[in-house]
Amino acid sequence: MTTGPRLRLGESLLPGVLAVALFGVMALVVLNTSFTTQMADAGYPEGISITSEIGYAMLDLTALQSTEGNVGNTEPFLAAFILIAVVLDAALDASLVLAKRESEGQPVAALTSVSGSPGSTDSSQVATTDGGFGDEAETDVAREDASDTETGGEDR
Amino acid sequence: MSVAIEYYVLLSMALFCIGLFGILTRRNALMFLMSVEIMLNAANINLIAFAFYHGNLTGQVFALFTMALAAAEVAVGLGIILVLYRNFRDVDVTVPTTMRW
Repeated sequence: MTTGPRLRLGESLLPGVLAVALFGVMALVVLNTSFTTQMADAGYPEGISITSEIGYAMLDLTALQSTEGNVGNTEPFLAAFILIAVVLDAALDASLVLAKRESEGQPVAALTSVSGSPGSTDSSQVATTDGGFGDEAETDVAREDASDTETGGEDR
Repeated sequence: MSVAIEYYVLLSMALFCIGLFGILTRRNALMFLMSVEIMLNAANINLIAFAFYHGNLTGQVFALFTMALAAAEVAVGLGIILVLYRNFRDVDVTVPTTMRW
């Protein structure tokens, strides 16, 4: 039995053909566009370190930036750098909030591996990562696995 | 480097259309996430190729920011998929229909 990807010809055929047709249209547009500068003439001047120039542009250190060629025309990105840092921080918080489980209305921390009902000292119930308690969840998953193998695996 | 700029744009368009194909034909939420990453990488190829074409570094710095945004998007996306699996026991995007009009 093969488990490799295979093309499904059904209700998803039309959107797939649309995506391929979009590539055709965009390729036609690009091939009919005349780019004036040749790539051989483009590029960066010799003898400067691209990596450090990227760092200078990112942190707005224009005094250190090389002025050779067009490298001096690189814009400063300090504000964007700070904004991206804030966005990454917010995404981290959001993912932690989403990963938290709720047990009887009480949020349970995402990183704990053992939890019982509040006030009980029974630690035999080991919480699984999917939010249910051990035995119940495992039977569910096992049942799903069985049905998957019957139908020849997940194919979507 | 003397590969013409057209080929970079064609490569990026091919990657974009592969990602679009994945989004339009798949139903698995994880495949959705991977397809969106492919589309973001297509944008990165364009940014870096045109930064080289124009000789400045704006596109390269911008590509770094795009990668950071992609990481943030994956963090939130995986959290959403986790909740989807918890509530529906499945990561099929056609199963949850509550917010559909």
